[in-house]
This record gives sequence, C-alpha cells and structure tokens, in this order.
Amino acid sequence: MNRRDFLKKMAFTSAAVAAVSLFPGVLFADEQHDQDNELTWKKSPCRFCGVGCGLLIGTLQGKAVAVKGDPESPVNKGLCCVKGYHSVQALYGEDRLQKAMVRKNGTLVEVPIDEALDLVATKLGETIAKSGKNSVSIYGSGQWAIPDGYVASKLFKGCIGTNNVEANARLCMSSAVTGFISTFGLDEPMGCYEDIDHADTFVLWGNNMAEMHPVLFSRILDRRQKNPDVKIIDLATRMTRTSSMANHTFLFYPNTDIAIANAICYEIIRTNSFDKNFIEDHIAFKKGKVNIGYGLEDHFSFSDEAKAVNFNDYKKFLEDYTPEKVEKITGVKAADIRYLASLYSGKKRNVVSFWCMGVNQHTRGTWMNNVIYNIHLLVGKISQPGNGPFSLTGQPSACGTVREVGTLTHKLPHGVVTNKKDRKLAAKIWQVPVENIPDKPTYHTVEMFRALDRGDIKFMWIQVTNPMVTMPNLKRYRDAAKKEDRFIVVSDVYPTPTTDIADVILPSAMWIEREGMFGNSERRTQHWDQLLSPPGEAISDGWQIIEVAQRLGYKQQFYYKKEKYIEQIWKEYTQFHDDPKHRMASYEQLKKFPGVMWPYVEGKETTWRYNSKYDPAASPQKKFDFYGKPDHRAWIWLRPYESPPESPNNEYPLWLCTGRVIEHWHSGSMTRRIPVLHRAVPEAYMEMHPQDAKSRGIRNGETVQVKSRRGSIKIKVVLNGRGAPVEGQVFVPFFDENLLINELTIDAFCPISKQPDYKKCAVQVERV
Amino acid sequence: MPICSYIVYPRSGKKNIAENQLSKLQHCEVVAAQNRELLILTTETFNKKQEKELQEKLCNLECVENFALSFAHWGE
Repeated sequence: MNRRDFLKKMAFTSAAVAAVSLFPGVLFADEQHDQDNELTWKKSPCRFCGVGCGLLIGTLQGKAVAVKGDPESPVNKGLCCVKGYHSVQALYGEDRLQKAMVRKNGTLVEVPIDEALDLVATKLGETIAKSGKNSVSIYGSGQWAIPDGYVASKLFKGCIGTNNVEANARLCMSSAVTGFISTFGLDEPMGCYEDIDHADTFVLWGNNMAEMHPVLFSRILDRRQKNPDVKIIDLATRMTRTSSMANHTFLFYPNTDIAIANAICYEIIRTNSFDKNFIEDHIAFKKGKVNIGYGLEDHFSFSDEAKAVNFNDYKKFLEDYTPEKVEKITGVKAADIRYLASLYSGKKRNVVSFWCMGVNQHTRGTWMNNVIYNIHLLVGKISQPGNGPFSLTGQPSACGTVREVGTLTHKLPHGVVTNKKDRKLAAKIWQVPVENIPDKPTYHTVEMFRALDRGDIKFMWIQVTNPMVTMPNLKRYRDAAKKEDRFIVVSDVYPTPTTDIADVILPSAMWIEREGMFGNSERRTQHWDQLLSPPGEAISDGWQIIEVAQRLGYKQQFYYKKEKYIEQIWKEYTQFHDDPKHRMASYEQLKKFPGVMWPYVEGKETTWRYNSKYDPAASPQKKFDFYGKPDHRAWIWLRPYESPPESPNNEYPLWLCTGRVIEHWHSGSMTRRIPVLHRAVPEAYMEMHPQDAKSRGIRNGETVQVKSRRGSIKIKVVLNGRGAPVEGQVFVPFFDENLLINELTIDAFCPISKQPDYKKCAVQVERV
Repeated sequence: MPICSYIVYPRSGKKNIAENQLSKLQHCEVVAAQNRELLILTTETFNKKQEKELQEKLCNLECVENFALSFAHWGE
C-alpha cells in the first residue's frame, strides 16, 4: 500500500467515523470489505475499554492498516467508537519502545533484552534473599491479557510465595466486586448486553456513557429511537453529553447518591410496590458496620460483619430516607425521587441500571453497589431479560484478567487465599506445595505503594499500566518509587512518567502483536491471534514473566513453549473453573467465535445467571436461585449515607471531580499517539461553572492554578464546554501526563473494596 | 494532489440515483450505507484545476441534498 492509498483509507475511515457518531448503527462493512479485498481481515477485541467491541483488523504486508466493527460480534454488531476505529494507529507511535533499557549511573541505556531479563531475575532473587519474599511485588492491570495475569499470579503467589500481586483494576472496579460478593456471593453481572434490547428504562448512576461506553450508549439510543416509550435517566453531578441525550437528568450533590437509592427503596415500600413473593422466597436482610472510616492512614484495616435483620428492621432504617429528607441531603427534588421509584416499580417497565466509576470510585463504593442491588431486589427486577443491575468496567480485561484470574492480593484463580480448599486447588494445578501460597492477603494497591514508600516493599514490577499518572495523592508514591534502595521494573509500549522512574524498562509486544484473550463486562471472553510482529526486541508481558520465572528455577511450573504458550496456559487456567457456575469455553471455541460468555455449559452461553430458565447452575425447582450465598438468597443490606472524608470549606471551596473524555483512553499513553485523537483534545483542561469563574475574575481559556491540600497544577479553564459542572464544582480529565491532576486527588478509599475515590476532593482555584 | 471524503446526504428517495451518478464521475469512489439514506464519497484529484472542476460537478448534482466534508488532504 502506498502513501496515497493509505490517505484514501484514512479519508474513508474519517467519514465513516463521523457518520457513525451522527447515525448510531449505520453500516458500511460489506462495501468496505469488497473494496479492500486485498487486505487480510482478522477478528480481535478492541484494545481500549471494557465494553469489548469486536473488531476486524485489516493487515497488509505486515502492517495493520484498517479497522471495522465486526458485524458478527453480539457486543457491538458492527459499530465502533472513535477510539476503536483509530486503534491500530496506537501501534505506530514514533517513540515506541523497542529495546530494553537499564539504569546505569543514573541514566537509562539500551541493553539486549536477555541482559535485562537476567537483571530482573537476579534483583528479584537478591531482594527475596535479603529482605524476604514479601518485599517483592507485581502490579499489573485490567489490560493484562488473561494468560499474562495468570502467569504473574502463578509466579508470585504459587512459586515465590507472596500475595503481593495487585492490579490497577483495584482503582476502577473493586467496589463492584465487593458489591457483588456481599450481595450475591459471586462476582460479575448476572445479565448481559442483550438486556439493552429488552429494557425500556435505563437508569445511569453517575455514568457518562455517551463518552465512556459510547457503543453501548448507541445501542440504548437505537433502542429508544425504535421505541419512543424508552426512558433514559441520567443521575449525575454535572451535565455531560449523556445528559444532553437523556430524557431526564437529576443532579445531586457529590457523595449523596446512597441517600437517593435509599429514598427510592423507601418510596417503593411506602407505596406497597415491592415484590412480596420475591422477597419471601429469595431475599435475606443484613446489617453491616457503620462509620467505617476512609483508609487515609497507613496500615488501615477493616472487615465488615453481616448481622441478620428482617424486613421490618429495613423498613424502619429507611425512615431516615423519606424523599423530603433526602431532597435536603442530595438536592434532588422529592417529586423526582418518587418518579424514579415509580419507574423502578412500574409493573410494565423493564429496568436496567448502569454504572461505572461514579459509583465505584467512592469511599462508600461497596455500599453504593449494594443499594442499587437493593432497589432491583425489592421489585424483583433482576436476572431476566431487560431487568437487572449492570456494573460496567473501564478496561478491556478488568473482568477477564483481574476478577476471573484473580490478580489481586486476596484472590486466586478460583476463590480466595484465605480458603484452604482454594489454596489446595491452586497448588495442585500449579504444581507447587500448598504451603507456598500464604493464607493471608498482604497489600491492596494504595497500601502496596505506601509499603514501597515505607520500605516494606523494595522491588516492584509494573506491567501494562501507568501508576505515575493514575495513583491518587501522586507525589507521595512518585517520591517513594525514586527512593535509593527501591528497584522498579516497568514493562510498557511507550515512554511514560512510570518508565521515567524505572530501573529496568522491558519493551512489550502490544495487543495484536501477540496472541491473547480479554474478558469484557458481560462475562465474554474474546481471543485474538497474533496478527503482526512486535517491533525490535519487544515480547509479550506474559512471556517476560515466563522468562524470569525460568531464570529463577521454576522450569517445572513454567514449562510452556513459546510457539503455543497461550493455548497451554488457557488449558491449564480453565481447570480452575471446571464447574457449571463458571465453566469457560475451550481454546478451540474461543478461536472460532467472536467471544463466548461464561458460564459456558454444554455448548451454551449463560445469558442470565441465577434464573433457572437460563442458568444450568440454578436449581430447576424454583424460578431464581442465588446460589452464590450458602442460604441461596440475595442479601439486601442496610447501608446508610455517610459524609465524605473531605468536603469544600472556606480555604478549599470547590469540589474536584476527575474522569475521562471520549477521545482518550486511561492515562493517554496510547491515544495521545494517535494523531487525530491527540489533535482533537491535545491537553487536559478544567471545566468550571461560569459564575465561579466570574466571581474569581477568570475568563474562558485562561490559565489558573488549581490546588488541593496535596498538590497543585496550572491548567486552562473551559467554560460551557462539553461538560458543564454546577456551581461549586470543577472537572479535570486525567489523560494528560503533562498536567497530572492526581497530584491533587486524595488517597482515601472504600474500607471494604479499598478502591480510592477520584471523584471528590476539595480544591481552590486562583488566577495566575 | 487533494484527497477528500464527504458524507453525502441524498434527497429523499434518491440514494440509488446519487450512488449511480457519483460512481460515474471521474476521481470519485462512493460507498453507500447499508441501512441509512447516506453515502460516503472519497475523491482523489491530481491538481487544483481537476479539484475545482470536480467540485463544480458535485454542486450540480440535483439528487444530492448536501455534502459534509469530513477529510481533506491538500497534498505535499
């Protein structure tokens, strides 16, 4: 393909992307296929968000040159968002890391990759010998391919014998995990994206789906276009592109969403709109601890206790949440709360609740997940087509790699480290003595970086993530990584602020430059083949770990052959899930289909778990069976509204919320290398209410200083931009490594999930 | 040596005619949407004169309501 042909393809793609954004669902796929029949097209899940769109990647002469949505994919049905269409350009940034680098006399110098891997293995071994096995750690992400996360866990938990394994998914969805576990006993949504085709009411809890999950939002808009009775409800703290498409937007004061959910439950009970039979047959009521803290201090520890209560106790608890009382707490009118309750309880309405970071990045994130489940459970609208709560994820394999493989300190590929039976199963499959696997979790992510600061951890291997952009209260953890006797290994595809603090940089093969699997938000595992050769000496993150494991002497456990290690690992890993509650598709099936949802039993995907009509693991004796809990019931929790750890005051009078924009993904290390996306939003900015700007003498486009108790940055102000904060609030996206908003954010977290709150801290803004 | 792309909005019921007429024009490649009344036009001309002549021809197409320019590369 010559340059002009490439430009013509870009021209076509540009128009196609514009058409899709204007007319969700428009298809050009077949014609493009005919036109480009010289290309080789192969399937792959998208590299970016947790929706898990199926793509077809066109390659020519060893280069990826085109992308289209896979019409066969049940996720996106041929659609893509702007990031998906341009995704392959992220492979070709000019500064792609191609050689390993080692810091010598303070300077990073290129070395052969084998020399770098030797050094990593030597330092890992030396650190364990000198400071103990709990002084070494690995920190990965929800962008790890499933086999990569699996070998990381096997090496550190099974062979080395430390539970110092964490992933950045702790920062984005661990509240969803603890929410699911505490209510249902098992993780991950019971429904699937097909719910969109059956629902007529969509309640979006703090979820700017139009920008964060645009393809799913397009499916919702398409559903409404065909069914005018469909309602989209946007519960938000600022106006966004989602608000502009919603039927109603209800703005609430930051952190008060639990009170709204409790008020909806109050109203459902007051109007006798709950499903009495469903509650009698399937629900237990539980009360947990209250005033549970915020995790701001090192070594913070908390464990909840479930105390059995009954329906009347719950009813009494909700008396504090009448719509009138809650209007005062939240700013949402009592009449609107009653309207929300009527939507949830309406006999002829099918309701899906969606949420993501707004609910999960919350110092009461687990509780927020619980109370959304409470609403669905009260009205019995769950685990059936078009009815259910659905937590979305932000990364392509937060579910597949982190939640299912269990790359968190307390987890194993099946179950938890504290359970002897689970440790025995892991030891058997991993071929290690069961005593190797410690029975206690060590550090969750924030505490792991605090341990690095204190010196309890001295060696950290960071793969597929960029914590020097994404950690809250960033300065403390950057300073920690730079301390004299810390050794940091970073595996990545581009230079980032995290590679800046590395002692060793390992160049990684990216996405379709190697074979792999991701698992998306709807329990769908998607396989892709290696389509391209990686540049220079880059190798996959998983193979890097295998190389180091073999150097450390674990050749029996890491027996894999380079030509087929993905297949070997998949076959080994799926032994952990060989039961109808979580059985996964075979390697051969994954290669064949555009993704397969688990539990995959007798050749059939399970679309709605816990519903005996669809779920073979559920007892056929009753309609629903919440088999995750020993009592086979889902638990409604009494969860109160509690105030946040930090609120605006005279010195810091504004709320700061952070988040993303549609053009950039995560910390921007990939999307900022895609010219069209970078040009669209070249730098971060701060959205502010015009009245707040006026009272400070700030005009649109001016640079201001925004400051919290932890740090400050200078940034341009945007008034009346794509997002519109209400008075007293500002918003800054976090994708820009030159404007590190996480210097300001607070490292407070949900005491149950340990997930930090990036959505709420207090700041001041001044002209400069 | 300009390369451009447009979203083409045909007049009501004229999608097939627009596709037919545009595909007959020199320097034009047209792809119709499968499920909407719109088309994507990619043009490639080799000098300013050709580009100007092409744009005049496009403007004279009665079956088209409007063209929305999406991409324009004006050459090295």
